[in-house]
Amino acid sequence: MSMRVGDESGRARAESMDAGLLAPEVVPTIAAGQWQTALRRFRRHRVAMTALAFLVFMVLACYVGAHFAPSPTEQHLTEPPSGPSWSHWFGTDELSRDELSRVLHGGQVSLRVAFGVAILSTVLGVVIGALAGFYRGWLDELLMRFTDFWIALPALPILAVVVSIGTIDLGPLGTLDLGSPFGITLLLSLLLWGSIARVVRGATLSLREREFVDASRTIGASNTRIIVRHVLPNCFGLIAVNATLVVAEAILVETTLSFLGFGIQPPTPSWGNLLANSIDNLEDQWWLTVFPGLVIFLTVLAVNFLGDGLRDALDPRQPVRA
Amino acid sequence: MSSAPLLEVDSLRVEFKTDAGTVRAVDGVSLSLAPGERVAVVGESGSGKTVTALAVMGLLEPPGNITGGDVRLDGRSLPPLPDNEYRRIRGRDIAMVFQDPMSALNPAIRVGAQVAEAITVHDPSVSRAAARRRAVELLERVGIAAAAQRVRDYPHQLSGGMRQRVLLAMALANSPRVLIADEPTTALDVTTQAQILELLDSSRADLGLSVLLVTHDLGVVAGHADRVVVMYAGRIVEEGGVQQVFASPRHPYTRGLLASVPTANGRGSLTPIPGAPPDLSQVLVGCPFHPRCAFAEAQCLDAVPPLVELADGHCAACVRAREI
Amino acid sequence: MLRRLLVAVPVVLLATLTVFLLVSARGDPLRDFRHRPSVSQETIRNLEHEYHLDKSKPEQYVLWLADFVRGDWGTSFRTERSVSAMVGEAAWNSFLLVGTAVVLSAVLALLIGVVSAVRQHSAFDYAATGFAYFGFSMPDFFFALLLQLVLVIWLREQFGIQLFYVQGKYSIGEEGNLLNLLQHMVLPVATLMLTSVAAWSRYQRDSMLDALRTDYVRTARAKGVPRRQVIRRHALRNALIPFVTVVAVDAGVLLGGVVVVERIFNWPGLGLLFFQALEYSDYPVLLAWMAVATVFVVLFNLLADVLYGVLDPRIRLSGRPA
Repeated sequence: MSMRVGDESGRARAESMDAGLLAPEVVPTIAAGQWQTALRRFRRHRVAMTALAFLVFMVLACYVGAHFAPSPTEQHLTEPPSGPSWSHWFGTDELSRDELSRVLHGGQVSLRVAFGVAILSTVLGVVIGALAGFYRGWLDELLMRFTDFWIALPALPILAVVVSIGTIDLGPLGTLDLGSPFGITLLLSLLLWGSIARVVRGATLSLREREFVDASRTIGASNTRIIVRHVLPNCFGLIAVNATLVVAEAILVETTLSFLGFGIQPPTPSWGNLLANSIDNLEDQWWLTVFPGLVIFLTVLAVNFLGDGLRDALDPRQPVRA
Repeated sequence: MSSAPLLEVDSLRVEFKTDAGTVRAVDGVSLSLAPGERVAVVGESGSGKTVTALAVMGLLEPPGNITGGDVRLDGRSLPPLPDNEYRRIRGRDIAMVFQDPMSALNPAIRVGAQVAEAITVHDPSVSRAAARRRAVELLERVGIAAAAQRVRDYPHQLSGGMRQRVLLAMALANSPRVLIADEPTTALDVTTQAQILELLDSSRADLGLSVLLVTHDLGVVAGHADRVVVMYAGRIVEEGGVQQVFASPRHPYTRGLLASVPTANGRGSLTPIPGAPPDLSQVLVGCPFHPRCAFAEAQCLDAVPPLVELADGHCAACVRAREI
Repeated sequence: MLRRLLVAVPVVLLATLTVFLLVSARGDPLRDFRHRPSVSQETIRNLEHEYHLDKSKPEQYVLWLADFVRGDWGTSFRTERSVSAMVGEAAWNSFLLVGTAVVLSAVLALLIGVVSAVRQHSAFDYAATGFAYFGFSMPDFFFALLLQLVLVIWLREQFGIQLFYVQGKYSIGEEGNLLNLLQHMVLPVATLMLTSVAAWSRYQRDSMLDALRTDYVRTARAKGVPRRQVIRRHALRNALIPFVTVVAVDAGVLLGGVVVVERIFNWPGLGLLFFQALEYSDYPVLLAWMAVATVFVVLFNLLADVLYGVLDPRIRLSGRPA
């Protein structure tokens, strides 16, 4: 499954790569001293640095700033909803709750889900991709068939249906509420690990042919050791870039699901369900739509810029000035 | 033979601006091509020979730029020409054949159409049918059997040798006066190599072509060129008649090249030149070859050795040329 | 090609099975009915029989699949209309939106991508890049609401004019009025187009840049072919092949976008149908919808593969990629 056009484009791209029409990607390998170079290149990338600063600010605001904002659940039912003002920077909603703090608390949930998804899907993707690329054979075939199948399913509707299952009983492991932030994190990770797996598989396939792998084998290193000590470190850059893309997608998918009512359920706030509340009041209380939406947009934008900065910093091919 | 040179490259300098600095791919290269002459430009990868060829054709794309010198065809300076005028010269007065026949042909267009395009682009009055007929003739001329059927094939349906012939046909379509061949045989097997080179020679004889042969293969030079120009690190280090230079190479690099070629009888050892070519983004002090040179001395670091004429038409850029 | 069709069959079967299991996992479809006093036991038994709920799970799947293939999709729990009729109507309405969006997006993306590549590093290129980032980072539901805010509400308040409509297909009493229909379509189509244009233009730019750097383009220039013709006849021809397949494949992804857009604009299409079916736990509609969606996506992937094979002569003539 895939939400964004990236996955299918990736597949079409992969096929046309085979057909020789597009240039194959070089696997950037990072030698020891090159981390410094990469770091330096990254720091020079002003847009990426700004994006990083913004994201740090965002995280701090949502977790630390939330302490200082008025309570998100405090209602003043006697007062009508009001627009942005000095006492309520983002205005108040129909129950006169402070919108800013609702956005910040929603941010805690949405960001937590997004980062959780990134970590989980990275772990899944790296393990499966590395195994498939290294051992090839039936494991690789299975993986490829599986990803082909996965892409054939319509993602958003399936996710919505799964979340609507509600709470499932895992026996000895307890119960899992699929609509909780943890549940959503799990589901999204299952959706999004594919791109990382594909990338790691590709890198492993080419890296296993390199001399240092043979060298390690001749001194008797085990396969696991080879994968962990030699193949994976050379993929770090690729993994990092893809992980940031996953964060961006996760935010978008989660907020979309929550917006539709098929994701994070109220009263747990999420940027998505904050916007859901605002549809009916679009005409009168525009601030309830604009501020949460803007926050989502800017955060995703920052993540995308960050990912680009990482990609540029780690690409050994020198970008050329016009 | 003192006919006016057909093609002149005069102190050409080509630079590439990259993030790592400005790379001087070609630094002060001069050569000339007389009508009917075959000149081979020899050097390892990175010597600047292909860049020179591209500069002559006006095919340098940014970040590459001609930053000095001139290229003249019949005395007419080419670099200042706007692209829509330059293109009239390409494929008609000067033609070029590239190295890799697999990728040099458009995979989505039939071979005959690609050859016909070479004709119609320079003479729009030619009808499609006439261009198609001419394409068949050209394919026959370059030795492709069953040309009338082959014309409708796609590049992937032809062998490497046949594709190279097609490229040659395209280049010769408008009877150019200069043909630049960039490593025309590197991607081919030995038998096909010989065939293509013969084709080049016979075409030259038929059409009175001048040929600029860019290669790193000295065997090709020996059999198919009149003069040879040896390039290293973007400069010419030796030039002269092929017999002259092969019999008594005057530059240590040329000697190294000749010594590292396996001889036909299999005797003698392969002595490769130690070291690697210099990094052209750095400014070079003294002779660019001196780090690898067996004859290097203190004076080699003073300045870049100029190209000095040693015998009739035989020049070398080495301060110790006469002694070696 | 026949082989591809054959492979698609098990994929469809597996996908429908997955989808069936997921929907079933939501629990008893007749749960709401059982709690309603107005519903008799006999009705409940009839329903159980009609939807095979009295059989074992595997039997349920097979029987349902048989019904589905035969066109017997049951009756909606919510509207009591024939499910196939509902889906048919909804499909046509969605096609109006999606079809328009895909065509317009493809044309626009092609233009933007090609011009960006040919005039790399120009102001246009940077603007197009900026737009792409915008498109990737903007959640479609927020964009839809923003469009509404600016193009409808703000226009109405400031200038008293209403150019576009945001509810459903026609204004009341204007059914059949083409202009009215178009006025209703503009905003939803624009929302659907955002992501597609951003992604496809990016893809086409990359594709075109690669094509422009190939050896055969260099050969064409060396032959003396004028620049314009090189772009059109050589570069574009080859860059178009992967583009066509990306469009065909991504058309399947638009299914997710359609749910969001139709929900916001109340457009009576498949997206809204899904939303309502899930909210209402309308079992027959849900199952039918999921099955249709899955088949649709698989079909489109197949179409993409076939198209690719047809357009690339290397595949067309030898039956397999070069």
